[in-house]
Amino acid sequence: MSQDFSSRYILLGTLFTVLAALIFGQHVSLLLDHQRGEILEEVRASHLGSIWTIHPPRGLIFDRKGQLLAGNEMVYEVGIDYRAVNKEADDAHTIALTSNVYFGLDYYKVKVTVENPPNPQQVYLPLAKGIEKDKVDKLQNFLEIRDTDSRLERTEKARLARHLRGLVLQPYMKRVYPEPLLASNVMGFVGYTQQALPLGYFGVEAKYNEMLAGTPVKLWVPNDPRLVQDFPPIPEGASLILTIDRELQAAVEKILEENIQKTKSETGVIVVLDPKTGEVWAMASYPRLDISRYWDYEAISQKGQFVFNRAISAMYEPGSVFKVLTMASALDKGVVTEDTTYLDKGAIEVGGLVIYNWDRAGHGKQSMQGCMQLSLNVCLAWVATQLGAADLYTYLQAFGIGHTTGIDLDGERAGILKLPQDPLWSESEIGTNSFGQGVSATPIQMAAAISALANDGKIMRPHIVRAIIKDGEQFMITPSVSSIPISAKTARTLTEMLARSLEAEASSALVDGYRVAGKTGTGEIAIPGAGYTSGETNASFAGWGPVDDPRFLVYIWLEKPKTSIWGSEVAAPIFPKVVEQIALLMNIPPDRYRKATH
Amino acid sequence: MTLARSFKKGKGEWSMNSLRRLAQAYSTTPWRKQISTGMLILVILLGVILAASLYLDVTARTLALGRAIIMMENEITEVEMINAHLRTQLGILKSSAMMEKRALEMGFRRIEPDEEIYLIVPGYVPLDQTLVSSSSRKAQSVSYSLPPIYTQSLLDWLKSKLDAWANSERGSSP
Repeated sequence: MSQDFSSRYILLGTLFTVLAALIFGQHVSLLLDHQRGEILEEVRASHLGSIWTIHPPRGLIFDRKGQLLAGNEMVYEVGIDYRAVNKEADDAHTIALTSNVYFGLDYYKVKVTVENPPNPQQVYLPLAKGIEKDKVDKLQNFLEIRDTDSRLERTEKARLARHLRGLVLQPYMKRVYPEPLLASNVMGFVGYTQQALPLGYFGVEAKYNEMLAGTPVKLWVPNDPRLVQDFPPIPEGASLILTIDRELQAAVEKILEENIQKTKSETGVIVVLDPKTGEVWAMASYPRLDISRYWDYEAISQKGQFVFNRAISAMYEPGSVFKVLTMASALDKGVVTEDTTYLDKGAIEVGGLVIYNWDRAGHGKQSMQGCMQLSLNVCLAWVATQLGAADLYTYLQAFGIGHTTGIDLDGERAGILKLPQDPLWSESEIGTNSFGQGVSATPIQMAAAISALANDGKIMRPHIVRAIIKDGEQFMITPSVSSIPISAKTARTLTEMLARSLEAEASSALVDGYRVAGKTGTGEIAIPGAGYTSGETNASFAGWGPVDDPRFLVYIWLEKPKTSIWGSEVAAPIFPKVVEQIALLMNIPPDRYRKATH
Repeated sequence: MTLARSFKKGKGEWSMNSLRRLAQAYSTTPWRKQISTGMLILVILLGVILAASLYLDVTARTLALGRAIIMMENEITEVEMINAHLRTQLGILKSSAMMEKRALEMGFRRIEPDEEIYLIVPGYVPLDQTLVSSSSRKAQSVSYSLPPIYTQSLLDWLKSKLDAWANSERGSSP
């Protein structure tokens, strides 16, 4: 009897020893085999809980008066949870029918998808994204059991809910724009990466993508409810207040589109900025994209070329509006004064190239104001030669020509300015560049450069974001000086000259109640290999005011107008229309009221 | 009856011996020992059952609260989404085009530049800064955490109480 017991004890002891040895051996093998150990650790962790990546809501975008320009909308992803689908109960039919009736999905496609998972291991498959909340609410209201429901209705709703257990409705936030056409060229849009993560493209959405998107937070959520912790605060993405004024933007876009149609131009841009701060109040670009349907970008492509925001990305030869920069440089350097005269014979040779006036005529003795008023190419070419290549290009670079303005929008281009040290530069460029030929710039570059005249010689860096709101705190952006190409005296002198020029020619750019300065531009469009023979032009106008205390600068560009090729006839008349809206919406009283307060 | 009679008869010594023997017999009775042991086991068992049921009760409530917290976290997320959604809907209703349409329907029209009247107010400087509160989750900026009662086990709770009691005995508790 006792022998039996002792043999059993020995057997039991041996078993436990072997078991312990096996466990120890396994432990040692896992310690040595890191890869297998890590896999098992992951399996263990997956049983303990799961990691959730929480993407904070994308920051909002407001206009300068706090009106919402970009927000977030709750939409749903509709998917199938194959684990909850009962094939015997014909759940596929109910799910397909419901998806068709409530979400407009194809009945047969959904039914086949539910009945045949792509692979046996698959537990979830998304059917559709971006389903509107209203549609989901309707379904949920239909399925909700109410006190007023009859017993039959309750039974039927419960039966339907059972069949729909495999239909998953997952809410998420989608970027939405209350007015998808308004300032779309400034806003950009939010698309999705291959990992279905939101990503900003173009404009503010791209430039400030990281700030708007916020920082995704990874949280470990335990399966054991005893270990559950409250979620830490997840800060949402920063919100932006733009310098754009929504009402002014809408008005300027309307004016631009009306005039594009009226002049039969191909494209157009109007930029309105505050020369004292560099704040862009409005930036209209035609054609523009409906950013709620950003995938239709082909619709705004020009001859296969897609330019999202022509104000910052389209480069063109500005033509005579560029003379403002040449004259400002010469006045500032002192090679000419307001009273300097020039005998215009209608042609001048610079670097072996004969330059003519726009009318191929000579205009006799002209003051510098006369040269600007009559927009004489010959006179400005002479002024440029007096200045010399070194100083001319130093000034032009100081005006920001040939490099980006640094505006906080994605996709800005630098334009082209050939310098004397470049192999393709020739001496004749001094003459042609002086009146805006052989040089290309973007509208925002031109607007920023000319803003020096409206701000005592200082160019403020043009910017779109006025303030950033982070964690409920608002931080204002401090305007910064980009460069000071000319003196305040030069700026005021040239402004006065250009104001008198407009008044002398009774320009269509004059505005009732406001004294303004400005310059038209008509740049011929070159054909590669054939020169300036297309007969098509870029019509521009740059204007600012009030002359004694400039508050706004407007830059207008119409590409290939058909009703007239001249900037003075198609672009200049747009200026007073824009200024009227600026005055009304940005509270700029007419000169007589303003002067009465001083 | 017999004992009483014995006392009456004055046989005191015999009676005391009988009583002692009886008490000894009673105290050494096997069934009494069994009952005593049984009762002791029963008391211990009762104690264990009481402790286990208390532990189960607390654990069950903790679990239920844990589940409720998860549900509430989900609800908070959904409510925040709905708030953001409604805010955007409000933005759509107040959009430039909608406001203009509604104004025109109400009989308003755009002002012409010559109709504008300016009132000169000496010393008035218009406010040029817009303050926008964008945070729909401002409440989250205040950090909060669950009280320990929702996360600690019964043993943790007992330990904390014992520590507190020990500290107060030593007079170190504030």
